[in-house]
Amino acid sequence: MPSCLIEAHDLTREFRVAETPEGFLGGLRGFLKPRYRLVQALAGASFRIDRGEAVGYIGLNGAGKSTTIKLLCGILAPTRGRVTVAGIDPHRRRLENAGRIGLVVGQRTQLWWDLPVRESFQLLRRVYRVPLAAYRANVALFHDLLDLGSIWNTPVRLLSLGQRMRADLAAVFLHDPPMVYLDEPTIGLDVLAKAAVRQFLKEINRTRGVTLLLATHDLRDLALTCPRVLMVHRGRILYDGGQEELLGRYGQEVQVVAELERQAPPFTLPGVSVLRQDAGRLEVVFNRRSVPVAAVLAAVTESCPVRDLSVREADLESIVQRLYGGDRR
Amino acid sequence: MLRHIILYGLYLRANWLSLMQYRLDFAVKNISGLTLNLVLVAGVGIIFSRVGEIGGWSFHQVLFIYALGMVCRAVWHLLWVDTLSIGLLVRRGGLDRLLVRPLNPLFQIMAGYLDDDDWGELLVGLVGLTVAGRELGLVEHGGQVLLLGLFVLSGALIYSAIHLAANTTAFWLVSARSLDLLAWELDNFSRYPLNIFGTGIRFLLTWVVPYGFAGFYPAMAVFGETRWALLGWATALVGLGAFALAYRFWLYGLASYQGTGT
Ligand SMILES: Nc1ncnc2c1ncn2[C@@H]1O[C@H](COP(=O)(O)OP(=O)(O)O)[C@@H](O)[C@H]1O
Ligand SMILES: [Mg+2]
Repeated sequence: MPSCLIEAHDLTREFRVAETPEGFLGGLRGFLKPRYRLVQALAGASFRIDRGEAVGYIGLNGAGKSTTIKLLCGILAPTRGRVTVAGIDPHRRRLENAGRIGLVVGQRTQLWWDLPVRESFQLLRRVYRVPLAAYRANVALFHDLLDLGSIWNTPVRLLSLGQRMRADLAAVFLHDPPMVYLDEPTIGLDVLAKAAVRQFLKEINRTRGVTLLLATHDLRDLALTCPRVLMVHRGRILYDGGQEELLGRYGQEVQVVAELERQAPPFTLPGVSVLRQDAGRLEVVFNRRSVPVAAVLAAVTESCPVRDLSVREADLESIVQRLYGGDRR
Repeated sequence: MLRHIILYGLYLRANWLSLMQYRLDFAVKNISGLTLNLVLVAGVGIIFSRVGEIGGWSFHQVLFIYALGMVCRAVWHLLWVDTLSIGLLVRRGGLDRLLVRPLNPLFQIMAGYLDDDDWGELLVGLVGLTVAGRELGLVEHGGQVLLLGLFVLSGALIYSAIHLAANTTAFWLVSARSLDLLAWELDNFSRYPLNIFGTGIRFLLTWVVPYGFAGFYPAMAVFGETRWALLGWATALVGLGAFALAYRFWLYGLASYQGTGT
């Protein structure tokens, strides 16, 4: 069995978006002779994912994460390039592919809204042709890992978002798919529910060897679960490598912004870069591993009278900025 | 095929259980639906209290056509009304969820919903059909009933085909509502004897939006009315043909599915 599960080459997807001209006459013209604008959601992404990997897929809103996942699931056809999942084209052979994957989309459920959770599971068992023994074993496992028992007989519409996500997660792993895609599964969940999701994903990846692709814009989703990270920005893969390397390098960066009372002499401190300094404002960035935050704060307040001071931890946005802009200092 | 029949049964069961979560809703909606449909049929009776015939048809013949039209529409509405929601699924991206399951998405749409508020139409239609059929001697033996059953299924299939085709345009048109609505409104014509309308409408309802086969034409076959019986006997073929065509169109649309942003 080849160890490569997903192979994407120059994967590109454009969308045609109808332009709606203003006013009544414009609307009429738009109807008679619609104009389209092309939006490039994914612009030539290439990557490979091996069996058993857990890969974090990060990017800001609109970066192209969901589009990538839809292409990998076979929901959409690529405009250009190609992708194979377990050797087949997921769009051309969508039904075949569908039996071997699972897709979780945050805040959207795939369960039957008005039915108790167990009814959805029984239906899904038939849809995915899960043998009864395997079904029972999995349901028992999920009762353990996700505390399904407490919601098993509750109609889905009465579940909280966190409970519903637990049910959805279990449902997606019910047929033992070798590949599972998760599109922002923790969005909108409270801290405890997020932790439950992360813990479960880690566990199922470790014990079952299920390959995971986890799209998120919350870096904390990665820590536990994903040793490898792909970062997408404006439809292009900006980073493909270890999570440690990425967060170790950029995740330790701290940014300090000071509002100044008046003009101050140019700020300097070894290991600290000045991003911007003018009459009213000073912005610096540094790595907290090489320079203590307290030392920087002290130096800033000493060099000039400060009206206000804020400290910003590295987040996805700052990392993207750094990667995208290059090391511009 | 067997797998799909079993799954269809399981989906129906799930749909029924879902409906029964809202028993009171269900009761109220259907009582009002029942009343509305009774009023509609009474309307036919009132017209006949003034005139002796319409378009050459007696009261019971018109009632038969009207009731057959109702039953065809009710069966579609109860079982397959979600062919009407396809436009919404396309515009809102709900189709995504169906596309990642190893089951034909149109099957999932048509099996996935049972309507809650049209049981009155089915009941009134069936009663009307029985009353008129008895009077006319058209439901005397099992064979006739079976034939009517086949016509009803074909008629419901025609409804599905029309709505499937109209809604498939949502793959290209952002605002396909107008076509869905047109398809929805036109079915009003299907309950009346087609020959009372002008050539234009008759042509439309026969060859373009073939609601004529969901009531009038099959009734003509049962009546043994030589002018239209041939078309009437073709009802099942028309139903299958229309659905096959609409299905091809749907597949074509599906290939250009874009989904929605985020
Ligand atoms: N169906 C669509 N029609 C038009 N534009 C779309 C569609 N899907 C995505 N887009 C656009 O493509 C870009 C990438 O979107 P998406 O893949 O959803 O990003 P992400 O999931 O990373 O937030 C965005 O600019 C978005 O507006
Ligand atoms: Mg997204």
